[in-house]
Amino acid sequence: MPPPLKSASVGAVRRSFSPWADPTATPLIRVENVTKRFGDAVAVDDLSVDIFEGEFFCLLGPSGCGKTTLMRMIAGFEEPSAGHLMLAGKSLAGVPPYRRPVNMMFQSYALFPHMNVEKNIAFGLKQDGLPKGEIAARVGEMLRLVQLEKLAKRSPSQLSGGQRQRVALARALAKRPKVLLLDEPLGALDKKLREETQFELMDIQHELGMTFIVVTHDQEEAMTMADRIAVMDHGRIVQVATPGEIYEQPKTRFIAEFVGDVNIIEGHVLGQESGLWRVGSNAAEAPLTIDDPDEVLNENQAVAIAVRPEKMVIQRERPETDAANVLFGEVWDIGYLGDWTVYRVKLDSGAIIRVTRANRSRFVENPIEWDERVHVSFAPDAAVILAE
Amino acid sequence: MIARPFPKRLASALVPAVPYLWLILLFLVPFLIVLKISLSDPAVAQPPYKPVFDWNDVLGFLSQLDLENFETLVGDDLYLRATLSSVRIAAISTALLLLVGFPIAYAMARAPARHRPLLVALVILPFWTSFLIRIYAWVAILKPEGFLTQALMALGIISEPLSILNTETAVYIGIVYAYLPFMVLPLYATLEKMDDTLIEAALDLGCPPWRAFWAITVPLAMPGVVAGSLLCFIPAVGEFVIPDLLGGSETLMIGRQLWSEFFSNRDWPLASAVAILLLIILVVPIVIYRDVEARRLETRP
Repeated sequence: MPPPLKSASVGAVRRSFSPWADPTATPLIRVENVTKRFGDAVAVDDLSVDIFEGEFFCLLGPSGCGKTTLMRMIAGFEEPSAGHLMLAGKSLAGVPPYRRPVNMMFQSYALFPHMNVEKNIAFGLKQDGLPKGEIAARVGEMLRLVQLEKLAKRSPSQLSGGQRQRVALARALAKRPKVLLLDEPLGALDKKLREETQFELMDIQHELGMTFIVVTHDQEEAMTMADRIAVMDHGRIVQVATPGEIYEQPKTRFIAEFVGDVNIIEGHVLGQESGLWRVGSNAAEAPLTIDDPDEVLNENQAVAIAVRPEKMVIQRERPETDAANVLFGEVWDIGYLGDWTVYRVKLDSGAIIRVTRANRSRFVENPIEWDERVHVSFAPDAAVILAE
Repeated sequence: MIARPFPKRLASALVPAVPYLWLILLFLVPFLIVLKISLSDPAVAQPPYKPVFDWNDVLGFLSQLDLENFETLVGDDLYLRATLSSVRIAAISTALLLLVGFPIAYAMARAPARHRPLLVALVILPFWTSFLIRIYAWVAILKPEGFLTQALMALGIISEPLSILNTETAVYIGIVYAYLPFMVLPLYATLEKMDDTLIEAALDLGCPPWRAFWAITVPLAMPGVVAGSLLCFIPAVGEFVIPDLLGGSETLMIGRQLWSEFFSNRDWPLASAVAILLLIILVVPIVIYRDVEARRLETRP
């Protein structure tokens, strides 16, 4: 039975979905202090994370951060050197990949070249020894889901990259696994197709109510699709949070810089005044005020202030409000991107920061030009403090 | 279009001509000569057949050609039995070669990448020694007082000397030994190219390893299986040295028959007819294979 078409938008359902915040909820996948060593190299280092049923979970990180190794351990292709993996309360230790209720969509798609589309999708169902009629019905349903009904008899070599990606997805979904692992699922697609497919993947995941774990190095992909993102670096998870939290409340400088663009202003803590931190920096004349109450800091502690380029304002005149933090500099470079204009401003301290401005009208009178003296300001709540 | 200078055009016309010239001079012409001899009659002369081609009397020459030798081949069941026996021995040898060669090629393809060139070199290494010497070495191993018997008796596994030499078993051992590289190398080439993630994908979809081997590895290795089998089967059918040195007097093979017609009976025309027969036997599987392959490619939807 194909699931009924969604009644509410995915987003509406998604906003209310947060099992990770519920301490009584039991995770579908529990990764407990898992370490994986290859010889001397540590690919995954004492990593723990819980993934919940129905979640769209993204493992995000630069290449070599261990995200693929973690995924391969969940699939069963690698055994952890230490630690435990649990699926629905049962240990996965020693369970071979062909006995795990987990399916994977490979980065290379790994379609069987000697089988046509239909047979590729049916392969997993045949292994389960399902009756022929049921296999045919399920294959038909999958073909409809990925809109490939007309290409059922084609061989993989006769498909485009996007079509192959759909076959790989259909094949991995056909067995209705508890968890679907996707290794860089959109990596081989061009940009336009990638964007469309992101939303399709979200729809499919929502329709089938399956748990998706996606490995990606593309932060935009992760931000668009995921309920939660785990940012990985050097075999560890640095932060697990919703895309919004990852972007607006990054825990470390690595995350702030890896996810999106960010300006880092170095400074030291002067003190706290009515809940706001005051930070001295040689990038600005006056102390900066930052609204980041959760941070626990000591006086004189060295910190980095992270401000996203779109949260800064660039203008010729000094801003009126006293609350704003103001930096001085001159325009070093201007990049016109159509929707945005990027200004690179060389501060008087020598540091170069990025400021973006949305191009809201088609023509700007007297625009800011190269080498002009400008004021760059940002509100206290536009910045976060990252302890060094 | 830019007209290319004449020497360049000449060169680009000549380059493809070289292989054709080669094939015409060294395959087509000798074949026609053999065909002609097979249609002649034996004679006590130099060369030992007649008629001899004569420019002045082409028609007279042609009128003397006949199919008598082929009638002999069909009439005497010795040749039919030799042919069938050759095909049988070649087929069984090819099957044995597949059985022995596939695991070797598979292990080579699975070996760490840095060891593979060495393994390939080891497979080719026997070619550095003369083929004849290697077959004679098997005589020394297999003869009743040979190494094998001695070793097995020393180990207490057998008490009577083995009588393997001069049997069909010895022929199989010899062919499998001598032709193994021709089976292993094409198999290795296809297996080595195979994407390991296909096996992982099969495992992931619930297929246990041994079943994945039959469902994925074997079908994808088919081009190598077919190439290796043909490379072994075709020369094995016409094999002469191995059955002559290792086989017994009752080991009937068409290549041996050809040799005795040619050298013992000095009946060149009949020997040539046997050669043509051998060629026909071997052309058939090649044509069938090509036909099947072409149809397989065509019917791909």
